[in-house]
Amino acid sequence: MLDKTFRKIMFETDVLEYPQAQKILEQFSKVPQQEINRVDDFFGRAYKPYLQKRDSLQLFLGKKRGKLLKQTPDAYGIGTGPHYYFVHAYNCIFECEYCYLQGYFSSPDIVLFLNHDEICKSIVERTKADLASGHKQVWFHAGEFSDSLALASWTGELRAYWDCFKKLPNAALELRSKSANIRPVLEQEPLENVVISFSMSPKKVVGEIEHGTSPVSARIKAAAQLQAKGYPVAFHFDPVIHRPNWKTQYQELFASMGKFIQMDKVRYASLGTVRFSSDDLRQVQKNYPRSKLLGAVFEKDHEGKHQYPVAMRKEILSQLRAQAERAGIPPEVIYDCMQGF
Amino acid sequence: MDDIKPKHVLCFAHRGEAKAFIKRWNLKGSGEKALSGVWSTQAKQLAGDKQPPDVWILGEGIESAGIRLSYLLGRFPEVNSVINLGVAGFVLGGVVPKGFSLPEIGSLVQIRTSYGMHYDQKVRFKSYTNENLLEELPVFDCFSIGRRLTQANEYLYVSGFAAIVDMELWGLHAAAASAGCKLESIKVVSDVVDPNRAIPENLCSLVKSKSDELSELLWQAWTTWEDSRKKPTSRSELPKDFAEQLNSEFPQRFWLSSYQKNELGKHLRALSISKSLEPEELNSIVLKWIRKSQIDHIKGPAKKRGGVLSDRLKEMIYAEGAFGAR
Repeated sequence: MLDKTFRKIMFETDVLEYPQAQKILEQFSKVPQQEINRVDDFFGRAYKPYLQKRDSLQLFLGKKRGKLLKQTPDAYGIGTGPHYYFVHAYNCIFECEYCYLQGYFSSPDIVLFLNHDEICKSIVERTKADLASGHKQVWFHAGEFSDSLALASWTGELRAYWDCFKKLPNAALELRSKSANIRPVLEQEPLENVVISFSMSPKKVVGEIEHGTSPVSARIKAAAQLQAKGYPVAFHFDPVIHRPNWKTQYQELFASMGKFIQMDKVRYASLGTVRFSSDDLRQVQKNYPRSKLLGAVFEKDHEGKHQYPVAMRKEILSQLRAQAERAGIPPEVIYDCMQGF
Repeated sequence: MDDIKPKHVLCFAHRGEAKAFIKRWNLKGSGEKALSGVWSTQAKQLAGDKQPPDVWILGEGIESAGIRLSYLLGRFPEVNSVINLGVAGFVLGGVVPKGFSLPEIGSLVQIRTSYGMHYDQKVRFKSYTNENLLEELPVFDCFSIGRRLTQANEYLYVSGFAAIVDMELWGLHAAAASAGCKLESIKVVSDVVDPNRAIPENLCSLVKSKSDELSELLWQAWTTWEDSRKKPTSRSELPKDFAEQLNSEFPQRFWLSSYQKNELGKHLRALSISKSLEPEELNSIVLKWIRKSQIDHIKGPAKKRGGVLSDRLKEMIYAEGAFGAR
């Protein structure tokens, strides 16, 4: 399916040294390919409408240059240690109507960075520095600008990160995904400090708004399979979208999860309602004018984000927390993500 | 407000491309020097929609054609729709959208996104996208180059953005956008460029020698466009402004400030999605609901009733069940 997805592959000369580049180019040998000097000469140089990802998606292979790690916003993850994200890719193969990627890059084309060795080196250096300054644990998150698992079967980077985090017991890695593609994870051994987290929404929301993602039932089964084999698993109930019968839908979701997952062993669960910057909201209104997301009136909060009214958000999060606890997730591992209260 | 009828013009780079149109419509060139390249029908007695559109020959080149179009749109402010018809090249290895096969020489393609080359021979950030595409023609993106590229490998850069290349479309888009005009473009592929091979030296004269044939193909493009635009669209027309309907149904019972009208519009849009109702349907339901709930009878100034209406509609967005069920 993916060789029909990409209309062209452009790769930097510098990445040809990586076996993974050769593997990808061979795998997509039928797709027109072009060697280039730098991804930056093409990607994002001209504005390409977001929805052209549906029929004119290009793939770029390159090296991530400049800053390889960035600090996350406040209240991003669990625990008190520093949290960073590293960028192994730009843009996502999925099409979620609320996604901020619509307004983030000026092109929806996918960029894969192949210099994972350099990213891992940055992770090691950062961890050492933070531990030396007194922190007990340092978190690193993948999946900020892309899905962590959707393409992992042929991007093949997980081995490098596993090797890296195996040697860093005080660092933790989160791979966040809406995909049920856990085969590349199962090829690695379970590590206590590598957590696979799944974004979860009710079945109706996945169908109406999270286009191309794995069905929620598949995510549940994938999480259950990982958990049974000893991989730490976590969940993000974020973004929660207010829809008619949302409470019942989440009750059904937790009930489904409870059938397969040991909820008391969930490493952590985050809760968050949908939120947009002004640019993101404009993009959503432009790209999906009849999206169910827009069956709401958003208010601007003190950080300039468009959200549901405060009282409504508190109510939703409170109800959701209660449901999560009733489903068996330990209360101490449930946290609100970036709600800014 | 009445719909504004479109006033179209067709624009071409060269007279050779427009030959079939000038001949069929018996167009005459303007005698005025400043309007050189403007061809109009002499049959002014025909009703507006039966008159063939004017044909404007703009020359080639992003800047030249763009400047010329800008001037003419200023001279003829009634024009609100420009259709560019012309020849273009297809670059092998360029981005071909899914679902469409590689075009051949003589293929008609409609242009979706137009990219333009800057003076430094790099792409400009600003692009223009036509979202009102015909179903009948394949869709491609186009890169307008600033000069005729003489080295085949120069096309490699272009092919990173689009598969169709021409010499003026981006400039035309810039001019049309600046004048608040719609612009659509259909091209006929006149040549195929292989970035891995040398470009034939006589490429331009080859294209010129086929101008009659190419012009006839552009005539086909025009008739395809015309036939397609005559079809009724499935989208319903936008409903009349709700504030106007409100005032019409309940004269002087509600007063809304500009801010409140804006807020009311947001609430209605959200309601339309939340309750899965088409906007027109929703307006009618809301007006009935106002009558039933007697908000228009609330004592006090019209401004107060306007505020209550807006608040009550906002509450409805999140209420369970059909609109007005509570």
